[in-house]
Amino acid sequence: MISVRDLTFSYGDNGPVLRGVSLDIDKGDAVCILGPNGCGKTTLLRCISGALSVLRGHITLWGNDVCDLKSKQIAKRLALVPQEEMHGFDFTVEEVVSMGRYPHLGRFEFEGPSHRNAVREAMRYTGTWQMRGKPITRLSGGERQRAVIARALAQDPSVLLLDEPTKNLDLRHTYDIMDLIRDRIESRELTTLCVLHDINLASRYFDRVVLMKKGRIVTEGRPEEVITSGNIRRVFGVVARVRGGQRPRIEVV
Amino acid sequence: MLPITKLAYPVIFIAMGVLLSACVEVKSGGDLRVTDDMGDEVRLDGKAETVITLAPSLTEMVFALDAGNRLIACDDASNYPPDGTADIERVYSYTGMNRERIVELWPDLILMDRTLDISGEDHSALIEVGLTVYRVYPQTFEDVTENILDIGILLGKEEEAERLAGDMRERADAVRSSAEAIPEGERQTVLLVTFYDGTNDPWVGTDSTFTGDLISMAGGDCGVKDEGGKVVQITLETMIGIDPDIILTSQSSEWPTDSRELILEDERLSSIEAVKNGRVYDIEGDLIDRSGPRIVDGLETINDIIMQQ
Amino acid sequence: MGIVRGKIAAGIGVLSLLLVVCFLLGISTGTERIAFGTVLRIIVGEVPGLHHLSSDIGLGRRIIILDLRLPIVMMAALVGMGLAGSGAAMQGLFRNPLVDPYIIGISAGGAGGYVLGEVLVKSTDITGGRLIVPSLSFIGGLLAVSTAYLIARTGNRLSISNMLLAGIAISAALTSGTYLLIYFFVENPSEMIFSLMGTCGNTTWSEVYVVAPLIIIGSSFICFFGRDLNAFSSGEEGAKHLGVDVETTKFLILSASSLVAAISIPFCGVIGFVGLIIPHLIRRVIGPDHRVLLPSSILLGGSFLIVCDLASRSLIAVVIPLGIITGLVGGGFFIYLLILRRGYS
Repeated sequence: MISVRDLTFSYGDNGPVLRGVSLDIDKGDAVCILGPNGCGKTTLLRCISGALSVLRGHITLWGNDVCDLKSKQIAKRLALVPQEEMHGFDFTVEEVVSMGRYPHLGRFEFEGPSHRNAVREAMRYTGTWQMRGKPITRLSGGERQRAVIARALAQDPSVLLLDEPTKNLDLRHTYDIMDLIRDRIESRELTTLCVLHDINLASRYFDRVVLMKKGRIVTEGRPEEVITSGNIRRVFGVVARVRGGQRPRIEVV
Repeated sequence: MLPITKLAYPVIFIAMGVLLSACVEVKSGGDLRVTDDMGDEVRLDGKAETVITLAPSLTEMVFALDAGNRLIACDDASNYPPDGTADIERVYSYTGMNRERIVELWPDLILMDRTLDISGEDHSALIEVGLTVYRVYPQTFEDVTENILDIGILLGKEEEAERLAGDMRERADAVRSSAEAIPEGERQTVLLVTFYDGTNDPWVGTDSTFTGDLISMAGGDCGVKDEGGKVVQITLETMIGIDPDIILTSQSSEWPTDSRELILEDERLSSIEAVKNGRVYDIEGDLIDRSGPRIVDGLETINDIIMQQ
Repeated sequence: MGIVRGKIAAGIGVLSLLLVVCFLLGISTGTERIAFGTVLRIIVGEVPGLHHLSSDIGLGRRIIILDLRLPIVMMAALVGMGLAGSGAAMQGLFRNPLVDPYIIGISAGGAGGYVLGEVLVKSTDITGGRLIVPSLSFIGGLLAVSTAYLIARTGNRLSISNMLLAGIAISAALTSGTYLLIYFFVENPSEMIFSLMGTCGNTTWSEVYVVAPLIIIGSSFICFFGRDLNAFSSGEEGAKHLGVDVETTKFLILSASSLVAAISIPFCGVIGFVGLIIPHLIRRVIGPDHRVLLPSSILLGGSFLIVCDLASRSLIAVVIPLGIITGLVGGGFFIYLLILRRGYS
């Protein structure tokens, strides 16, 4: 589905943020990227989505080189939930989520019943339906994040990229959203690539974990393979005790 | 016998009084006195030998009174008579007055037109230093002839002035009687366009301006009624509404314009009587703007046009 | 949603009606008093087959309505529509409700070109001044905005914020240059400044024929980008992720807006605030959805400028430049809105 080969990227003259990253993601995979700040996780996501133009290396989405695909073609099948989003005007939550349907509309088409259903469903799923009339600029960080996630879901993608989707969410909403995503992954065979901060969350919800440090992939594999105290110390510089099992949990000492 | 000392004082006082009054008498001497249009009394000891004029109409007057050789300087715009004014020094234009030069020349008499110096600043500047200034402010045809007579006195050219004024009055009377011959209610509407460039609203003369006065005298009805005494701008709409029978376009020899062609060719004005009948005439601006001796030429020209039925 | 649709349709209906009313008001007002019924008959009488309705009315009156007032009102409507529409589009593009189509250099370039044209024509006696001056003004406006565009573009990506900055800088430089020209070469500066500040009075049909196609096509074109502009609200990257071809969209919207704004300057002068205040008003009442905002702004902009132009020519005996009227009304209204807003913060 997604293939990254030898990806090297830098924003300016400050040196490469990604160095020779290679990654393969198959249809239906649930992959999580972990790593300390500045290791290039977000950049990797943005390169894959086509937001950033890549000069060195190749990225293919469902067989096509990303540079050859038009934004609309990508948007029909791939949705990205960004870490933070600033909104210029006070659209209502419903209006914002409806924008997720744009890639599926013809230039002069207005949203019909099927589109509106998709929007409603996405909002119910994320618990944002009750705030549908509120202006997005007046929501709290967490509420806004859920709205943006709803938008991505309304886009009905087959590939979902998420950049720290639970960053601002409280405990209950964190697990709600993660359950929901997991649900989608299983029911619709959604290919998912998610950047997370919380190692335990990653371990619990994802089948494949990629560890990154300083623009490189250090290691990847199943959670129990990757999440070891050795790896944690090497990548994060932190001493932690790992409770084993298929879904290991760490405890920072 | 009265003590000499006691008599001395009254004698001295009386002598001083006589002397002083003699001085005053000398100072207020001035055998030529006229009151100018602004109500100021102008005095000269004997006719003015050197004159400076600060308006084209006044320059023309001086030459018409055969005193052109006494003109030592004039204003920028004076251009008639052409050979007379070709080489004269200029000390006044719309950007300013060269007071120092005028003072250096120290003419016996300065002739000014108040219309060019409404604030009176220039006049004050000259009076302050002791120059003699006669100001005209003509509103009607009669005022112009009066001015000519006054100036004639100041220049010692009374005879020429009487002849010139008399001639002008005669010709004006002839025009007036032809105007009176027009039956009541049949006067033609005359519109004087002083400036029109085809894009912006035209500037026109009103009934309270000098030329408005001329038009009435000549037997026309001035199309624009306004009390301001100045030219005003009107919209094309208003012009169509006035629907004048005759349109006069003011032409100047120095800045030729094509107002006449513009008006005749503009489709939007095609409904106007004057345009339909081709009665749009160029008229030399100097003949109707300048309140000098040629004003009567302007009057006759307008009258001729009106009488051409 | 059905209710919302209804509201939108009602809103556009009301605005269209308003435009018609303002239009009729415009052609009924002038220095000559002409009865409204007569005005209507004159207009309707132009329709083929209905000539008999106005055949009894004098030629003068018909000319006043059809050749004097009608072009003026049409020009005011067109320019108002164009400026409001491109203002709304640019605010969406720049994600900033304080953006005006002129801010990126168009007004400075247009004014500069205009003055340059006038100076050239007067000093060299070339004929065809009526063609040269508007052409130079139009080209000037476009040149200025193109320069800002090129400065702000790196590779094939246009930085919107840099474009704003470049536009402001270019405007400052060009405005100084223009004033220099006026100071040294223009003999009647107050007249020149008067022309620059605008009036639609004395517009002729030939001028309307030049302006109308550009504004109508440009504004309609802009309306097609309603959805894209909505997407832009989430940021350029957000818009890209929603399928918008960001760079192409930026270029097309900027081009259309620039053309529309630039063509207005030579014929109506520099009229500020229309592109700023009209979209703002619509956003407050109807909402930020550009698919509705754009056509609504266009309609309201037309009405607004017709009324402003009437005020500029009919309030006092002399003409008050249109730019001053829109500045006073627009600026005053803006201040009023800001004061109201203080409660919200």
